[in-house]
Amino acid sequence: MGEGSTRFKRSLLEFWRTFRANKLGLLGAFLVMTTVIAAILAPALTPYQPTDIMRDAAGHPLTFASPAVHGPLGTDDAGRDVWTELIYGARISLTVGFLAGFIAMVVGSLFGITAGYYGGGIDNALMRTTDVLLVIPDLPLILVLVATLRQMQLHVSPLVVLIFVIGLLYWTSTARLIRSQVLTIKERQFVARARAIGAGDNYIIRKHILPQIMPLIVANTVLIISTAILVESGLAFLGLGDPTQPSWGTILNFAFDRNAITNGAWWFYLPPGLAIVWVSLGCVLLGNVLEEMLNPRLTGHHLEGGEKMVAVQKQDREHERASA
Amino acid sequence: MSRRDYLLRKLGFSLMTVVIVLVINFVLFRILPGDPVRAVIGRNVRISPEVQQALRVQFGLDKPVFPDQFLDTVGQWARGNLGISWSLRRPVKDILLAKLVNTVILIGLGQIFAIVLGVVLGLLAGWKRKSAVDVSALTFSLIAWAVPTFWLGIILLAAGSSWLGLPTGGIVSPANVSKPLYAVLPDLGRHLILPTLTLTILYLGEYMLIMRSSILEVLGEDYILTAKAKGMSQWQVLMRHGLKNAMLPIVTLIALNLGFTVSGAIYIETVFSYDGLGKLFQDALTKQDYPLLQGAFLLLAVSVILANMSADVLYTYLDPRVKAN
Amino acid sequence: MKRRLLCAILLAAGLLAACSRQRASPTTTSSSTQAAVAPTQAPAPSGPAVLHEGWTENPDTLNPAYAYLTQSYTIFDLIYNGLTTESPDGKYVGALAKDWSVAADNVTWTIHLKEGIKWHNGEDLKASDIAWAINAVMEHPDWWSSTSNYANGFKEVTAPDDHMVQIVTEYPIANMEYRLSFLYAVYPPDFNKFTSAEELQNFNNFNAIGTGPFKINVFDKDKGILILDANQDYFDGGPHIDQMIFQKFDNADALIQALKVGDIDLISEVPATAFETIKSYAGVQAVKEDGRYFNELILNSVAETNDPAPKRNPAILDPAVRLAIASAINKQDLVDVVLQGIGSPGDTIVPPTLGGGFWHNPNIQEVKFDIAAANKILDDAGYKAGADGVRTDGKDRLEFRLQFPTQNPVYPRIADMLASNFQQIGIKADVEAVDTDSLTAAVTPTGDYDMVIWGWGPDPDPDFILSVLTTDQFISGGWSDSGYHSPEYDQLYLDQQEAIDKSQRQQIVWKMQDMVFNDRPYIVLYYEKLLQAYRSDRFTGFIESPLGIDIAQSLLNVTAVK
Repeated sequence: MGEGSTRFKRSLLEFWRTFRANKLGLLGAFLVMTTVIAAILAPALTPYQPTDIMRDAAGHPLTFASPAVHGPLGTDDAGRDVWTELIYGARISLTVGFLAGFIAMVVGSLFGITAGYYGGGIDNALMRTTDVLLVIPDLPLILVLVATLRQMQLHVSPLVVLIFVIGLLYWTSTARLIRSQVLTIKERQFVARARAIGAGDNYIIRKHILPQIMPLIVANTVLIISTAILVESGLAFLGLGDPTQPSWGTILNFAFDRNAITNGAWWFYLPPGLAIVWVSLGCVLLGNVLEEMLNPRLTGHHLEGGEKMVAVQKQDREHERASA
Repeated sequence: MSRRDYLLRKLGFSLMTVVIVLVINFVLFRILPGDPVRAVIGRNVRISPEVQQALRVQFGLDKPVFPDQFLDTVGQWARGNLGISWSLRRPVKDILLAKLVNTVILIGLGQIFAIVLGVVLGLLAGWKRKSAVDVSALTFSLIAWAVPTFWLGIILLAAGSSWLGLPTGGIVSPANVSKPLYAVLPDLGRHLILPTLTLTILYLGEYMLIMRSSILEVLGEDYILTAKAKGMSQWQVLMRHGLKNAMLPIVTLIALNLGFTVSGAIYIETVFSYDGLGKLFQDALTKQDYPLLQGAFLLLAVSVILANMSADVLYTYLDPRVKAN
Repeated sequence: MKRRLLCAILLAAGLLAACSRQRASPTTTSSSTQAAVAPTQAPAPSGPAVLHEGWTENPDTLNPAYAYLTQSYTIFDLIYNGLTTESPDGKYVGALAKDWSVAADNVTWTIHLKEGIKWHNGEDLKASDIAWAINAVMEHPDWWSSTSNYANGFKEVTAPDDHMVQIVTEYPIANMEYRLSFLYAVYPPDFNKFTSAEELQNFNNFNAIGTGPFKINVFDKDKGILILDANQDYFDGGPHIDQMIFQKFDNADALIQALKVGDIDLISEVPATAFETIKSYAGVQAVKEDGRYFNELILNSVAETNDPAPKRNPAILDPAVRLAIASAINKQDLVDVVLQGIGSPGDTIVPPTLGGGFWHNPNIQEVKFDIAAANKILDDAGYKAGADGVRTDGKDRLEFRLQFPTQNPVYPRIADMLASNFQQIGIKADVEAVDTDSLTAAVTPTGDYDMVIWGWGPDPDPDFILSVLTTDQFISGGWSDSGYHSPEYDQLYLDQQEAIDKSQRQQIVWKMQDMVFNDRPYIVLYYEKLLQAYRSDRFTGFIESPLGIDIAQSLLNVTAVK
C-alpha cells in the first residue's frame, strides 16, 4: 500500500499544481463551489422560508417591493423574498443538474466502454445512434417527449420527468469521448498482458480501463451538468417545471408571466438569470480545464485541429450545449 | 472514397434518420393514453360512436399497428396530411405553412448577422492575438455559451423597450397586421431588431472562434511571407487566406447550427411573442395540442436533417481532400 | 354573458370542422381584406375613426350555438341583438323589442319589435326570423348547447305578424328579460341547413350576419385580427366611430406596451399585476369596475353511483377534511397576491355584483383563515401526521391532486399558495397544470380529479351560475364540474325559476348559496374586479359599468377626440 499511496499522493499534488496554475479553472471551481455551498447552507443564509410572504405594517403582502424597500433583492409578485427564493432555487436547479448529469454519465460511460471495448456491431450501432441523436433538434424532441410523458399521467413530480428526459438525451457526447479513449487504452500493452494471463473482459474493464478513464468521465460530467442546468431552466421557463418547487427557471417563468417587465421589477428577473450564468459558466470553465488536463488528446484548443475530427468534436460539444 | 460513394452514404444516413424521426413521432402518437381515435378527432365528447367508428375505419385504426397503421400514417404525412390541430381546428399543414416564413426571416437574419460579425471580430481577434480585442472576444463567447437564451431575450426586451422604445412583441404594429409583410418593411424591421439581436449574440461567438483559429493557422504558415514579398499587405493576406481557410468549418457550423437555432427560436419567439413556428410550438405545448406539436416536430426535425445533408453535399465541393479522392 | 374563463370544450371535432370549411362566404376574404387594409378610402376630412382593441385570446367561434369563450360573447354583443339587453345600470331595456308584456296568465308574452330593423346584408328583419331562431333552440336543445338554457320551459314561439313575437311558456318564468337578451337573432339562412349537432357546432360563422351596431369585415385567425365595420343603418342610430379592430397579443407585456405607445386604444382585460403601472401612463385612462368573475377551488363531489365511477382520493368527501381545507385558505392573501389587492375575498357562488347586490346572500358566515383550527379539525377527525408530515387516518392519506388549466398565468400562483397553506395542516397537494380540454374531459363527466382551481364569469341573473351546480348538468358537455348532487338543491333551482315574486325568489337563491357554501363543492376564493384601460387622448364617451367599457351600448357612445 505504501508505494501506491505515495504515487497517488504525488499525482494528486501534481494535479493540484497544474490546476492552480490555471486561473480559469480556479474561477470555475469558485463559481460552482459558491453555488453548492449556498444551496447547502440556504437556511443559514436567510431568515425566511422560500414560501414565506413578506408583509407590510398592516399585514398585507409586500408585493413587487424593490431592494430599496426590502433587502437585499426585493420581493416578487407574491411578496416572497427573492434572495431566499434564489438560494433555495439553487437546490432545485443543482439537484436536477447533478442527477441528470449523473444519469447521462452512467449511460454514456456504459455505452462508451461497451462500444470501445467490444467494437464491431455494438460499436457501429452506438455510433449510428449518436449520429442520429446529434441531428435531431434537441429542444423540440425534449418538449414532445415531456409533453407526452405528462399526458401519460405517471404520477411523478414534473422534476423527475425532466431529470430523466435530460439525462437520457445528453449522454451521446460522453459515450463518444469514452469510446475513443477506450479504443486507445485497449491497444496498450498492459491490457494485452492482462488478457494474456487470462483475465476476463469484466476484470480488465474494471481494473484497467475504468480507472484510466475515470478522470475523463468526471470532467465530462461537469460539462453535462452545466448543460442540464441550462436545459432545465429553459423547460421551467416554458412552464414545464413544478411551481411548488421553484428552480431558477420557474422563478423566471413567474417573472415573465406576472408582468415583471412592465413593472420594471428588474430585481425579480435579473438575479435568477445571473445565477444560471454563474453556475453554468463555472461548470464550463471547470469542466474544460479538467478535460484539458486529463485528456491527452485534447491538448491545445479543440478548434485548432482543422481536420474533419474537429467537426465531430464540435458536433459533440454543440449537442451538449443544448441551446438553452 | 469517391465523391459519389460519400454522397450516397450521407444520403443513406439522412434517410435512416428521417425514418427514425418518423418512428419516434408515430410511437409518441400512439402511446398517448386512451383511444387513438382521439388523437385524430380531438377530445370532442359530442362525436357519436357511429362517427367515431367511421373515423376509425377511415384512418385504418382497426388494422394492426405495424406495419399497416405505421405505413398508412407515414403515407399520410408524406402527402402533407399532418392531421388536424385540436386547438385551432384546422389542418396542421396549413398552420405550419402560415408561420414558416416568419421563422425563416428571423433565423436567416440572425444567422447572417452572426456570421458577418463573427467573421469580422474573429479576424480582428486572431490578427491581434492576446490583445484586448482578442481577450474580450473570447470572454464574450464564453459567457454567451453560459447565458440561457430566453433570459437574454428578457433582458434585451426589458432594456430595448424601456430605453429605446422598441416594440415588446409581435411582428408588425397592430395597424399593419392585415398588410402583406413586404409593404411594411420599416415596421417589420423595428420588430425584428430585438429578437435578431438575441439570436446574433448567441451564435456570434462560435463563428468568431472558428474565424480566429483559422487566422491563427494562416499566420503560422510560410506563405504569409511569400505573399508579403509579393507586396500584399498583411490584411489582404489574412482576408484572402483566412477566409478561405475558415469557409469549410463555417459551412459545417451553419448546417449544424440550424438545429440549435430552431431550439433557440422556440425560446426567442416565446419571449418576443413573435408569430413563428417556435411560438406555435410553445402554444401547442401549452394547449397540449398533440397533432400540432408532432406536425411541428416533424417539420423541424426533417428540415434540420435536410440541412445537414446539404451541408455534407457542399462539403464535398469545398473540402480539397474529398475532391482529391 | 361571460362564461367560464377560457373554458370548456373548445375542441369540437377538429376534423369535421376542417371538412366543413368549404362554406362559400358572401364576401370573398380577399376583397374584404382589401377594404380593411385601406380604411383611409373613406373621404371623411379627418380620416375614419378606427378603434383598436387588444386582447390575449381570440374568439374560437362566432357561432352562438356552441360558444364558450368570453371573447365570443364580446363580439356577439356587437354584431347581434337579442330582443332585450342589459343596460349599464343593470336594468333590462329593449334591443330589438320596442315593448313587451305578459298576460294575466303569466305565461303568454307579447313582444313588439322596433321599426326599420335591417340585417347587415340590407334585408328587413321580420318577427318570423326571431321566432325561427328561438324555435331552432327549442327544437334541438342539445345542438344549441350554449343557449338552450335560456329557452328552458318555452312551449311555443310564434310571429303573428312582421312586428310581433309571441312566446308561450310552460310555467311562469321569473327572469324572462334576461333570457331574451341572450337568445340572439341569428340570420336563418346561415343556420337552417344543418342536419346534426356536429355540423351545427363545427360551423364557425366567421362571416356572421346580424342586426347589431357593427358588422363583420374580416376575421383572419392566422394574423389574429378581427375587423368590424360600423353599421350606419343600425336601428338605434349608428356608432360615431367607423371601424373596430381587435388584435390578439401573445403576451400581456406586449399588449400593455402597445397601449402605452398608442398602437392600440383599448385593453379589454388588464392583468392585475400591471394595473398600477398602467395608471401612470400619459394619455391612458385605467378603469376599475366591479366585475362578475370569481375563482373557485372545486372539490370532487361526484356521486359514488356515477357512471363512470369517480376516480379520486375518497378522503375529499369527508366534511371534516373539506372544512379544514376551507379554514386553511388565506383568501385575503390570495386577493393581495394574485389580484395585487384589486378584488375581495369570496364566499358564495353568487357574486355581490349580481343585480346590484340583490341576489348575493349577505348572511353567510365566512370560514375564518385559521391554521391552528384547521389542524384541530383534522386531529379531531382522526387524521394523524405520518413520518413525512402528511396526515392519514390509517385508511386514506391526505394527499390530493391539485390541478388547474394552463393558459392562465394566475393559476400557477394560486396553486402554489394553496399548496403551501395545505402543507401547514398536513395535507399534501400534488400540483399539476393540465390543458383546458384535457381537464374538462377529466372532470365532466368522468370525475377523475380531487381538487381543481378554475373560474366563472356568471350571467347578470343568478340563474346561470346556480344551474352549474345542479345534478343534471353533470353530463357530457354540461356545465357542472363539481358533480354536486343534491335533490333538494335541484328542486330549489326549479322553484326559483318559477318564483315570480322577486323577494320570494331572493329567499330561494339565498338558501341555495347556503347549501353550496356548507357542502363545499366549491370554495369560492375571491371576486375579481373588471380592469380595463383606454387611450383617453384618442377616444372619449365610454360608459363605465360592470359590463365593461367595450359593450355595444358604450361603444355606440364613443367618439374620437379631435
